Amino acid sequence: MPEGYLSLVLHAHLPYVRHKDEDHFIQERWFFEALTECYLPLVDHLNQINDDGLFFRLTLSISPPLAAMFSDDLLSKKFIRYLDNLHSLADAEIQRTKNEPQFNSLAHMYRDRFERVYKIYNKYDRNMLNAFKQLQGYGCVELITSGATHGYFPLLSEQPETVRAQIQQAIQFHEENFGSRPPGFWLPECGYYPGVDQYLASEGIKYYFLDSHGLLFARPRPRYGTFAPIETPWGCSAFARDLETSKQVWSADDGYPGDYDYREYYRDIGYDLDWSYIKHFVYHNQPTHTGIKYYRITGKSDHKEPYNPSWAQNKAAIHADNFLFNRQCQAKHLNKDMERPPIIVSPYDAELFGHWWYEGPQWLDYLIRKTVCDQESIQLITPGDYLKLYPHNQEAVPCQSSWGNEGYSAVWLEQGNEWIYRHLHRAGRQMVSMVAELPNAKGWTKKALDQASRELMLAQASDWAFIMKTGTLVDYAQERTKKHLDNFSSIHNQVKSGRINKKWLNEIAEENNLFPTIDYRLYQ
Amino acid sequence: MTLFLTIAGVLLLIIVFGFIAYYFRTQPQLKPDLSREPARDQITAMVRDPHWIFTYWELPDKTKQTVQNDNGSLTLRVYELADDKQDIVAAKHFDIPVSLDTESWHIKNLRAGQTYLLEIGEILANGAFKAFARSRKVNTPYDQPGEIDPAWMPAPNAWESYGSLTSAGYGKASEYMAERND
Repeated sequence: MPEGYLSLVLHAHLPYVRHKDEDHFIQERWFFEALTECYLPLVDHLNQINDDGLFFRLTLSISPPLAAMFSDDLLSKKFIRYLDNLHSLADAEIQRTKNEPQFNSLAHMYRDRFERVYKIYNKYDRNMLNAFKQLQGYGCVELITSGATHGYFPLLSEQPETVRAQIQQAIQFHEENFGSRPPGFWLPECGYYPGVDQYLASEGIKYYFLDSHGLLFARPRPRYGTFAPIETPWGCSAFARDLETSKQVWSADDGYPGDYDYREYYRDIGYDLDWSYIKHFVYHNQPTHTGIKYYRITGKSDHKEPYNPSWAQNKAAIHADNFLFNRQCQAKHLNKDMERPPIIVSPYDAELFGHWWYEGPQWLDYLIRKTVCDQESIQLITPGDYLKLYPHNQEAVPCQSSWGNEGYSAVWLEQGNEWIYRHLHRAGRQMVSMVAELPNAKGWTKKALDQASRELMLAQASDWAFIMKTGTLVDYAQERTKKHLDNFSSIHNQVKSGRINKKWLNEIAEENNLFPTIDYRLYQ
Repeated sequence: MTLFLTIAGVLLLIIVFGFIAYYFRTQPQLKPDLSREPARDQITAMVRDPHWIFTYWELPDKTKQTVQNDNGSLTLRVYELADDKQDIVAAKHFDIPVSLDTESWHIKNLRAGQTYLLEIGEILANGAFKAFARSRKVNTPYDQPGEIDPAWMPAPNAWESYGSLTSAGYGKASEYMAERND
């Protein structure tokens, strides 16, 4: 028996951004960058570990909007164009830097990398759901889901039906994509309020995650702190984020990603080089990140030295060793007064790996290999596996909480975004009311109500309130919120008046095409 | 012949106008509906953190007119309940005067782990409070660990991390996610 279990959890999410009438919509780059730098390299690493015959366990939450984008033909075509452009830029860089060996080798590295990304993407028929299904089939990844559009549940709880709908739709979509119902659920932003468990439990969900204080402030006090789950009165198990491992990886100052040998995210040739040169490789009319970055963090000043991939790789190995050593010490210490091995739960935003922390996928690769091969005191586990080993846990009620700044709802409810809630709640009330009045709608009325469900869910995405709070790209977040609420309101008026504009309805159904099989009656 | 052409012309006009009327009849109401007149008095309480509730309300013009006619003052009443079963009659409360054109309020310095209920109403000239709408009961979250269950005494080593929780802070993830939008 190991001295402790380590549960690595990656949460992968992006808001649903897909604009069919524009060839190069700048916000779609969030998805393309994440595919290139994070999801495809992660899949590559996990497959290589599996191909080497090593058995490991990792929990991966894929939010429904991201899953939908993974399998979308239009976005796939746009991504190939994006990748072609990057490839051309890397070729041009190889020429441009031919007399600068330290940069030329990096330009070659990027071209090789883009070619590798292209190869993996094609291997899975340009649909990343195939890659994750395969990893699930190998037994190394436990796939779970999140809110249908990543709605922040504590602030939607005014209309519990809308929270329940976010949960039910997510689980149905997961089943359609991956062939089975998820054992666990990632509460969007770890946003928990007491009672949301009842909707999770009734859908067969066994577990979800909280930020540390969500469990530490539970009533009564949990005996094992964050190192064992609690069982809630509604029949789900709640696991909590471990503080120590969070800090080691998340912290920009004290965490691994800030090491001076790692690649500097903010020195991109999209900003460093002349616009007259760069503009031929980006579709937008302003400097932007290209993904080609030649410098390492170097230090706290603006002076940056060229990136050295060997140094960075070496540092990723050292950091993986350090992380594992600390887990061994942590488990040994905890084991002294626990009647069972502790579970250390380490959830991270998947985009940290590769996008923000370029060497993150390599670090994860080393960590998994070292944990599996080099020692026996720490064992990788998923929460689902842990509950099979230890099905009986202390009963307690978690505390309302989130993993946002300050630990509660301040990020999603402040001066910049508070205005949205009266409209979201009103739309929620109208949706519930329409379903009550028309429980058996057919034909165009049903189609209209199904689309109303999509528009309401898209407006509820936690991303919009988050962006409004951060102060960048606020216009886009406001526009999306208003657009979906406007669409909802128009459908509401049309259904009420019995006059549905079929042409317009078809147009918005084509534009906002998330969840093709949605049934509005989930708001019953 | 002239009569025939006149009749044909009239028929043609009827068909054309009929078609136009039908076409416009089915156009959607695309006008944003975000600022429409509320249908009823309504107030919502939303918990922001252990010490802070945000509330918004909607009052139709006729309610606002009532306040003016009564010479009353629009007031937000905050009830502090012992638990979510207590009736408001026996509950402590405090009032926040608000202007007629105010539609939301941040209520701060509240107690953690407490049940609250809000009413929006008017205070009449005789001092009586007349409620227009009442929120649902909401609970502020806790800001510290709870009571100990003797059957599950805390394991000391497992609780050492509580110290680092208070020093390092929690909910740090969003600081990094914020950079996504640069």
